[in-house]
Amino acid sequence: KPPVLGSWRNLYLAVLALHALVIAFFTYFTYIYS
Amino acid sequence: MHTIDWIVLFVILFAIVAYGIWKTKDVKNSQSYFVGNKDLKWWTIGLSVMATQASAITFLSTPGQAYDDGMRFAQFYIGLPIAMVILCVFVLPLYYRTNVVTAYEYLENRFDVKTRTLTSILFLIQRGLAAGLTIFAPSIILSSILGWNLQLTTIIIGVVVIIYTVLGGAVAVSQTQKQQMIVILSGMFIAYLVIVYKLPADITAGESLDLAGKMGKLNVIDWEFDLSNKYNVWSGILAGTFLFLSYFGTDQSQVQRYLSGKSLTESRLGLLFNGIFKVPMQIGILLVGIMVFMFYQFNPSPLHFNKANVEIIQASSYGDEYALLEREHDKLQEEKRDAIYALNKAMKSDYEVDAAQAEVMTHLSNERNLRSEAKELLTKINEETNLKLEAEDTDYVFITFITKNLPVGLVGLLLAVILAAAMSSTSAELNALATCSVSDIYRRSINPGKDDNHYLKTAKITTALWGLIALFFASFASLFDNLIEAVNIIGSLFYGVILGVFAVAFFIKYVRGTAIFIAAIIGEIIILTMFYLEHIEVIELAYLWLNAIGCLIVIVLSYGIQLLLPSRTQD
Repeated sequence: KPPVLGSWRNLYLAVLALHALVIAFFTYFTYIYS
Repeated sequence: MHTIDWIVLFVILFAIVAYGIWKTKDVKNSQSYFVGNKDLKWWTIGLSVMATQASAITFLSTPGQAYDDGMRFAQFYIGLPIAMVILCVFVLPLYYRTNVVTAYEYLENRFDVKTRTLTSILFLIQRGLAAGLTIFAPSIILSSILGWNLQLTTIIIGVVVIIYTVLGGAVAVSQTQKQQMIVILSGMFIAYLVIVYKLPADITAGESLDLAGKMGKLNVIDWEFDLSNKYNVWSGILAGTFLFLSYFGTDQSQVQRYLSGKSLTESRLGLLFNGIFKVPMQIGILLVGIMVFMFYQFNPSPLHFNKANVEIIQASSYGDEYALLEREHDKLQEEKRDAIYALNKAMKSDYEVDAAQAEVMTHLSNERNLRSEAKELLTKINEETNLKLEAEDTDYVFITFITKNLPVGLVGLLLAVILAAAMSSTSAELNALATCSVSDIYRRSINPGKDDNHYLKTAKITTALWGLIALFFASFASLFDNLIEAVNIIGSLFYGVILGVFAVAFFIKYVRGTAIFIAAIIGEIIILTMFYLEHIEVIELAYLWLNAIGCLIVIVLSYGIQLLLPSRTQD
């Protein structure tokens, strides 16, 4: 078990979700600043 | 350079090196010299992995890339978090379960000793060459701008790294990397704040971002699928993930960092930490470059950023032509500045923004043409003389800004950032080279069965030897046209085959030692032949493809050879 989120699967999914959020944010960033 | 800058630079670097040497008291045996005392927590592993990947060229080149090309380079790293998760799921448990010291030791468990030795030797050739460039790249840029002696700069960086890496091994590497990352991150953050502060008083930070966006510089994400475009989301996810899988999964200079972890859990968390923070860190460095770009929209910028090149042009028969270009550039900059103020005003009142934007873009494209004309003068000089001047000057943008426009004290801090980055990468490379030489080859095949102290001593001597070899390569590095590309080409010649061997090890249980060994040798010969044919212009092939081709050849060939071998018991 990892120290957070209960299982490794949850933690991996959380990392990938966070990464997707970063990409989504910068897609929006690119759009508003173009 | 001001005396205060020298003091800041010296104190920071001396403190880091002294701390590294003091930590060498923790080296108890050859095991702790290779992978530390297996006591690293996740955040030290994460910082250590990031410090190994980020070399001086990262901090010199990346802001210059943003200056020239905007922020789209950030997409190069999009595959990195995906690679981290894949490594955590499939690869780390295998390394931990088999309790290996090097990645190639795992291959002996899976295949046999000859496959382990072969991949280790391929790694040693590739990393030994690249380590020379890691030291040389910052030296040439710093010597050009600061007027330092090139050979002396290279030797000083090299010798300082060799001293603490020889004495402290993996323990010194991970402890100094932690300090180096703190200096690097805080230095870049302070630089960002100072640049924003130095923008004109009548332009706010928000307005300067708006303006940079209108000038086409904030193109972080591009969703369009286009094979000819180096940086978009798809190339980052598809090609980038493969590149980072092989770099973090099979390159000993990285594997060694997370094998020093206290447990599998700590190592996994360290890699995930790297996966989460790497992309924002690169975007931060690019943003510093964007702010340097904005600073130069309101302050005079040189026509060509490599000062050493400019001095050569001025002394040549093209001196008058260059002076004419410079005068034109000065005039253009004033017109462009007025146009940018007009654009800012138009955006505030939301009136005729498009026309004002078109005006600014015309000036930008004229400036680009002037800069190209200056580069053409360099090409002409190259053709007429035996000089090999680098016409691209983006690597020199950030260092020019640092030395010309940052306040006293901060120049020393930013130079410490660049040198700390050079040292953190080099020390990890030397430590990995020594570990593979001693663990995979010397202790395994040449001189087994000695006491541990003998191998610890051998490892220290080997570290020093690799340091000297790297310095030797560095003295030839000026023969390469483009350093970043040289590093990537050297990597591409060997990475594909190594990745192929590991891919078969992890996923094709049918293939055994002899088949993979023959396939790897044939694969490497084919790759080197293709590179040679490309070099003498018989075939046309971008070098990055060698990674994928090498990997595929090894997978297909090894499977085919295994089918032909009489039976599986023969290995």
